[in-house]
Amino acid sequence: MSAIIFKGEYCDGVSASAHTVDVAFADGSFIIQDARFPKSAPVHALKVSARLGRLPRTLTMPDGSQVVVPDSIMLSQQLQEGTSYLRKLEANTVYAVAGVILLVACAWAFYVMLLPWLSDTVARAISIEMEEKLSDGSLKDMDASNVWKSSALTDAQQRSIRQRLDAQLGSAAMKPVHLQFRDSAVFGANALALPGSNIVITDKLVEILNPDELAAVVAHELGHLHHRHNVRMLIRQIGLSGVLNLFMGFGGASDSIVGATQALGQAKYSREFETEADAYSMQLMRAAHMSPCLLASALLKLEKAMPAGPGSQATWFASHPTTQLRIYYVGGSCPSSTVSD
Amino acid sequence: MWEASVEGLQQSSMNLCMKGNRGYPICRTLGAICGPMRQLRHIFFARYQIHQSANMNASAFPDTTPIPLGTSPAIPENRAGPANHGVAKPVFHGSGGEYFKIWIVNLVLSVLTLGIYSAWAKVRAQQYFHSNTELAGSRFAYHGRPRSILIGRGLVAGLLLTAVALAQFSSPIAIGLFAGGIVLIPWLAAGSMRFRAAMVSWRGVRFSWNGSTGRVYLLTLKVVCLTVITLGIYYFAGHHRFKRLLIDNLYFGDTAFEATSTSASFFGPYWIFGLVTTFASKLIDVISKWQVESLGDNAATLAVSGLSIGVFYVSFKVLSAVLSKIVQNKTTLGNLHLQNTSTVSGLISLYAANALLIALTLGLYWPWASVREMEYRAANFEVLGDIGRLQASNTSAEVNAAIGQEAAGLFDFDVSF
Repeated sequence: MSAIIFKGEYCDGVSASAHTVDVAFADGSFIIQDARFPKSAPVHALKVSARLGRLPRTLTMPDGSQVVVPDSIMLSQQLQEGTSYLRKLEANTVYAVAGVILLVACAWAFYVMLLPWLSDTVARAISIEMEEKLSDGSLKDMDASNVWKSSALTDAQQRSIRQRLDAQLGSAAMKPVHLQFRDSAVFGANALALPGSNIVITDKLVEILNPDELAAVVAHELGHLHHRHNVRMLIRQIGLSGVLNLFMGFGGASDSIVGATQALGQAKYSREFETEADAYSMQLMRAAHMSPCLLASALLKLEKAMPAGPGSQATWFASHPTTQLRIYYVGGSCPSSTVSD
Repeated sequence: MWEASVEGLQQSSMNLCMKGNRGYPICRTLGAICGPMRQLRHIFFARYQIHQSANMNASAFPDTTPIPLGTSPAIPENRAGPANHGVAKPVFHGSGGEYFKIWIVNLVLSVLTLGIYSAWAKVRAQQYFHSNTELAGSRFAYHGRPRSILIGRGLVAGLLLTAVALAQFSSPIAIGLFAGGIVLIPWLAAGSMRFRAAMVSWRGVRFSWNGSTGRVYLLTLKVVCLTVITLGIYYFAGHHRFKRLLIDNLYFGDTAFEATSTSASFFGPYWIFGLVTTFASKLIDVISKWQVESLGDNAATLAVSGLSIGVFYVSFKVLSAVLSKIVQNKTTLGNLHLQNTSTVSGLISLYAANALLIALTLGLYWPWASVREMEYRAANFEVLGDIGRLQASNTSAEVNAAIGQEAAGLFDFDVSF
């Protein structure tokens, strides 16, 4: 019988020299047909490199020497190997296109459904007590930084604001809340919900809003606390940064790409939370027999006080929906006199 | 309004450094440790594009003849040519379209198996790039085994995830874990250098890295201390010391690589890099203010952030390539001299075009970009000397543990799917 001859490159596995040789397969054996290296081995004893692209195949003999042979169908036949599923997948453009579509779908499902669900499940497992501990830390950190200083309001003024809010929104809703007053040039007229149960109100906010509007804004912050937005966002951040780093890499240039993508991803979650908190505020205001339109007029005043504030621009990176949009949802049916107060 | 509180939280956490906030002192110190480690891979990249001369002195070494394989162009056999004056250029045979299909299958299977396949994916990608690189008729080969990579990857990912999650709560356990992780970095780096070198072969002869873990610890300690004392200025020299630590202990078979580059040679590139990125970020600040005011929409935000990321990405890649070039041009292997002929303008146009196309295709251009990068590197590399005289025997033992490689990989692009 005549054996099929292949051209190959022989290396002895010890020295860095290569030699052109003829190799053949016969009777289940692999034979090097060269007087210098008269070697043979059973085909099943060869270690054969996997097929990948158009790469040549490396056949390693039991003694560690190797022959590199260009990939071909004939070689596969001699090695008695089938085409692996992997190989079929990798060789087909249709599968590649389907793969791209599948990846986009997976990414979207992860971002819109899986990550929110997973992180909210984890967030539920974190007790309020644990959050309280966090809250102390973050409030202390913010106090230590120069974002704000202590409030100019007297203790008596602070107490009376607290009492009025308790009366307006109901002491049940307000009971767990630690109301904190601060004077901040950075935040201007603003209120913040910190993890645990801290709501920080700036002096400027008290100054420009009337007591009823202040109640509407505090109700919005109560919404953040009620829906546990702080801890939920924190876990979403961890998840998002973990997955993005996994796909885009760590360090150097990829840090900035991950950072930008993460900012984009978080902004959408943030806007959703703001809308949720607005809805909570309206609900609480109605329950307290106050007009939800107060939130709309408060938002308008804040917008006027801070023309470049968080609600001023509708970008993908914005943390808040635009004030216009929020007012549309909150006060779409409000009398214009209330809104344009 | 509330998201400011999240920022407050982050300030109290150590996670800051992972988000690119490199201004903090702790991050700068970390950068001093991690940066050089990250850079080490660039030498590895360049390393396998070396050796061998196309001009064979066949009469002196009748056994050693180059053989063109597969689709590789035949390398002329210059039997009459003088010995020791040969020039071998590596050739990269991969194609973007072919790698795209492999890359997509790798990604999809990694996602569907929740990351488990990523170890197999990594091996296939490494095999694709190594075995498509040809020097003097012979291809390089990659021998990493998926299972050992998977074990290392799982261990390190688990550790990191725990540390990051705990760091959010700034507990003493988290701080302890984090400190423990930092102490482990030199050990992981040594393991990584050992693993990466041992997984690569050419003509059946393995590379190896024979440095000691103790040396890595000593050098790390020295570089960190000097960097802190000199307020960061020593960083460039430290980087060079790490590159040399790699080269000076690198072997092909039992032939040692030797380098004569000096730390001072890294000062210029780092100085220009600092100047360019500082100037660019100032310029981008100005543009962003002007653009956001005039346009104030998604396009402006995306354009400005894209520009800043692009400038940083390109400068970073060019810096890395230039530093590698400096060391390579002073490196020898036995009787062979390495020659890197890449130019700053060539590197800028390569990386800028790649970055732009990757951005415009939302990442889909990545496989083509990788192939283009390899083609450029191959085209700008030469090995001077007579490969026939290189008698490297294979003495390197296989290294099993992928743990170190994976751990160090977490600080660069390699751990990614």
